[in-house]
Amino acid sequence: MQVSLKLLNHYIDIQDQSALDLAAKITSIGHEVEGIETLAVGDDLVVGLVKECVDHPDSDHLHVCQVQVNDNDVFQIVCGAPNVQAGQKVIVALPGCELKEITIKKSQIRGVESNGMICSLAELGLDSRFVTEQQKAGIEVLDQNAPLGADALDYLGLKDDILDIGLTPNRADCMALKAFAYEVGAILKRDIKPVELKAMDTQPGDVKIQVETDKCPVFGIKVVKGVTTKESPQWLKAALMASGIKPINNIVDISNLIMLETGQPIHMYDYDKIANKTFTIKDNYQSKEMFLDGNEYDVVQGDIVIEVDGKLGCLAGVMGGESTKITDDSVNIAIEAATFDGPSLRETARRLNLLTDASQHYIKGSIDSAKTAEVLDRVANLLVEYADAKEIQETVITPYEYEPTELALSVEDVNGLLGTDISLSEIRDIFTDLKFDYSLDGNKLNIAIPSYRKDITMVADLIEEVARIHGYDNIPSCLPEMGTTIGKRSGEQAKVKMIKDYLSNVALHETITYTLSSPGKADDFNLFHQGEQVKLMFPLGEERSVVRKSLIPSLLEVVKYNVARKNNDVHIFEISNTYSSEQEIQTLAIACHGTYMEQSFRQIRHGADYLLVKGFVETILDKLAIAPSRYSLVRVEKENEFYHPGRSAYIKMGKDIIGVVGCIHPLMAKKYDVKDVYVCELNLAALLTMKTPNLKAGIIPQYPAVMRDVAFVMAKDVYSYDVIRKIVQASKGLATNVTLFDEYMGEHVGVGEKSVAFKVMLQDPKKTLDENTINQTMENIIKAVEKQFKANLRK
Amino acid sequence: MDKLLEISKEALERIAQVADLKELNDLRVHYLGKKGPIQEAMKSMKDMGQEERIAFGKVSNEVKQNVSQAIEDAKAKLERIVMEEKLASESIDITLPGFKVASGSLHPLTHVVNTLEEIFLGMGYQIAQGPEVETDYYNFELMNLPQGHPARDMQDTFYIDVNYLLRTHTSPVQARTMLKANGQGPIKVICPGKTYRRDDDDATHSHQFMQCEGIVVDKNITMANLKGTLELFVKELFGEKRAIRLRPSYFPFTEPSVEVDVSCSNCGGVGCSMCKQTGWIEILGAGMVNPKVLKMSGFDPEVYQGFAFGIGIERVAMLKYGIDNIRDFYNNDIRFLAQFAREDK
Repeated sequence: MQVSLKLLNHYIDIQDQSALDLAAKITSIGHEVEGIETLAVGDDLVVGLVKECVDHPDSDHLHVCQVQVNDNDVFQIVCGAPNVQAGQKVIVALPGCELKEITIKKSQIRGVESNGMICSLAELGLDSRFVTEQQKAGIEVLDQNAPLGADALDYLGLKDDILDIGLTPNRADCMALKAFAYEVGAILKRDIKPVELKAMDTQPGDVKIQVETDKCPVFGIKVVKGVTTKESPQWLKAALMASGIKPINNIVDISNLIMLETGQPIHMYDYDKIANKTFTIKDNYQSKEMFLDGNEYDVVQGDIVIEVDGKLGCLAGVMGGESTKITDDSVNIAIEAATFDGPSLRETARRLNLLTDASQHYIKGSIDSAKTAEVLDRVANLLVEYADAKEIQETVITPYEYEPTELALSVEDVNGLLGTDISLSEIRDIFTDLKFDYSLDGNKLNIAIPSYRKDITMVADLIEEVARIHGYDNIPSCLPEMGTTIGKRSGEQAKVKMIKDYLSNVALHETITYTLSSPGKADDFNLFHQGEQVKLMFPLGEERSVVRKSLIPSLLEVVKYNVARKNNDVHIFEISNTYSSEQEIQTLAIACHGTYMEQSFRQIRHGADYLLVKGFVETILDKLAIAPSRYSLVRVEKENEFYHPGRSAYIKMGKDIIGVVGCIHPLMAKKYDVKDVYVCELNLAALLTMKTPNLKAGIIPQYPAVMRDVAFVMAKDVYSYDVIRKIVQASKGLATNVTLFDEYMGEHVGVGEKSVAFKVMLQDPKKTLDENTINQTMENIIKAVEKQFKANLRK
Repeated sequence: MDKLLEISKEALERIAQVADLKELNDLRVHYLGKKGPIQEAMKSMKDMGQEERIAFGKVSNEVKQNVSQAIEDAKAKLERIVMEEKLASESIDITLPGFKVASGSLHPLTHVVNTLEEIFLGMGYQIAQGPEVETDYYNFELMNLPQGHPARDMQDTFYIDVNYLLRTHTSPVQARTMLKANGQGPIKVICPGKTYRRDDDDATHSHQFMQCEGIVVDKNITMANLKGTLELFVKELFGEKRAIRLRPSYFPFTEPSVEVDVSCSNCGGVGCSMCKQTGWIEILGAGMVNPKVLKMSGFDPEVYQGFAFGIGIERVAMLKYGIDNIRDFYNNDIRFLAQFAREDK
């Protein structure tokens, strides 16, 4: 909301307040002043008289003017405006004057001295909406009576500060300056200036009103005859401009002024264009209609409509119809002030894309329905004063009873909620300053809620009134006194944090990507969801229209984004929720691309590969206390099109797939425009809730361990992990650690074969192993492996 | 006897001039060996009288000892020289790059959430979480945003169907937590998480963003408690020197409501473009839980009072780290992320 301080001063005396101070005070009671502007810019602008105007000797469009700016001084000014002439009163910016874009200096223009500038309205910084093309093209010519040497902005009524206020949605009443004045009055502790209603001679009203919908609680019409359409007085035009409204003519301007003053939009009909003088309000009107903006709109069932002569007179609160609109020639007008249902109106305005200033007032609820008749009288007053209205009819209005709400507020209520020690007398003073009526009942106030304060419905609302006027700065500050509670992450939360910390400590970057994806991608890499895609009803675009089921596509997009920016090594992870129509699953995904670790001058390099990502997964499972014996790796299906079938594995626990690790399929690499990306995705939701053993320290063996190396030649497709398990099994528990230290395929072994070598650590926790036991155990191991895998000991 | 002393003198002179360990060893074998000159000289002892022999023996022992000691000393000295030569030859360029796995990082939004969590865990809060695909009932209805409320506009919310939507704030977790507590206080939780609004993405808007909600409900919770809590954590988050300002505001789920501003770090409060010349930057909204919200969530507003606050994580991160484009958080450029390999403070 744009508030002109000059206009606000009509309703409360604020002349002694600087804009900055007032803004701070207004903000402090809950109406945030988001900016302070001035209507026009330029100090030291004076009214001058062009005494002489001759052509510039060295230009075909410049003029050299002698401009008198006070009784004594005449300045020579070079002016380029086509409309400058001797004898004009003009706006003069003297050297030193700061305008919106320039500071005026004494200068030479094509060899002729110039001591200032003759200004157009546009150059004063007025919003371009308010300046006509003609005014932009030439200098502003003032009235001949303009006093020589006077402050030009002051003379034009353009010296005004504007507060840009962000009203909270509950205080739409403050869209009415009259109501806003109560707020300012409460902080300044002064009375408002009441708007005086002058008595008028009236004729009986001759219109009829029929309300056929419950979406119109009150509807009033006042007929005013004999008006003259003309230009508004300068103060009104300036006030409207300062409020962000373009002045049109006196009639339109008065209706806008009323809306600013009272928050009540009004509509005017040409009285003479209405034959049966009956206004019917209904919400079951359906047709294509021409509105006063010259466009056709579809009016549908549910829209609130004022029907006249069987036609649309006005789409309530939104826009009037073409057939009854007022024009410059209208003499007799019917003025409507009414209250319409906000939500219904919002739907209509939204549908037709006609969120007009007026409709916003209904939607936000700025209207004080109890004052409808008063508003119409005020319009009539203004039409008499500024539009020469000759005949005023009595208002015809539907009955409306306002029942004031009363609420009882005690000192304990206030201090109990705020934690303050505010006295009864201060509470009383606050409601006195807010101009609320109340009566005293012991230490309680029985408060009557004014009709414009629809936001106040319960005691807590009244306490807020006390708090904001008392000042939030004056509320003490202390921590709650309550029983001690333990602040602790849940087991699952702690595990998630541990995983994030671990991965970020092994050179992975955590990413946060968008949950919303496109229908063509949301099913890619999905492993854990059986349900349908979760689709938005009104997405912002196809790209973000469904909720993802896997995090891998998002990570691939991050890889692509980075590689495109020459960040060639991308090692990232994300922990987020994924969704299908059936469930929410938190997953962890990792993507690795490029060099992981490198020291090139020593020829050390490790790139992203299957084993790198598998290593992360194994460590995570280990940290989650899920022993390798509880899960197994199973190659993905041959026909899998998300993962490389030869280089990817499911991680299974029993029958359940709880994760996947591997290289993305070439088809996916193509689709996501990436190369050589190794990924994993784990069903964290399942892993975090799994039963796991508590941490118990084992006994460190006291007896020495023995190391033996053993190598076998066997078929290429035997899993090394299976061999290790066999070795452990055949050792009868003596092999406490078995590691693969060599894998070879090539000319020294047969086709389809490989040589694998293991380091076996044998240890007995109870005694030192003797040579005999060691040899026997190794023999058992060799026999078992040879038999199980059709392998041969490599000698 | 003179012979012995002569041998000794010669030996000591030669030992002193020895340049390497091999030569020294040769001298040792020569002088102290069975066929060496000392041993040779001692052969004459058998022709000596007892007294002379004792004297000779004493001198010869001394000579042997002296030579042997001189050899040991020379050896130590030579070994030291050899070691030093070896050390010198082993010298490397100590400024070569260290061998390390590059640093990874937590996302800046995670850093902010972690900081908030630590602050509130320290004050005895729990961390609550809720679904991002939420019902209209929890997201709006229980937050005192009934049907027809402008904040429920289809234009601003990602609806999935009439009942389901992507949550527009973390407030529904408040309601879920309260309902779970079954009308029994105290409640003391924060709820960080992802939220969604139907906004076009630009430098200051993001259709996906993060919030952290906090709620405390007990029998005597006051607005002064809210103020104390906010002051504490804002200073903890932004630094002791920052001032905070509370402004009355409006949220349907709190009454009274406040908007909290922190003094601008860029200009120190005198006004600049970052704070729109006001000297203050809005960072969070809060208030006393609306009695209607308490009631709908199963708490008796005659018995219980509470406060709640909600803070935008991106906004905090932008202020804290000087980030001016919200999209940076979601582009995940490695160069951007890598800056957060270390923690602030």
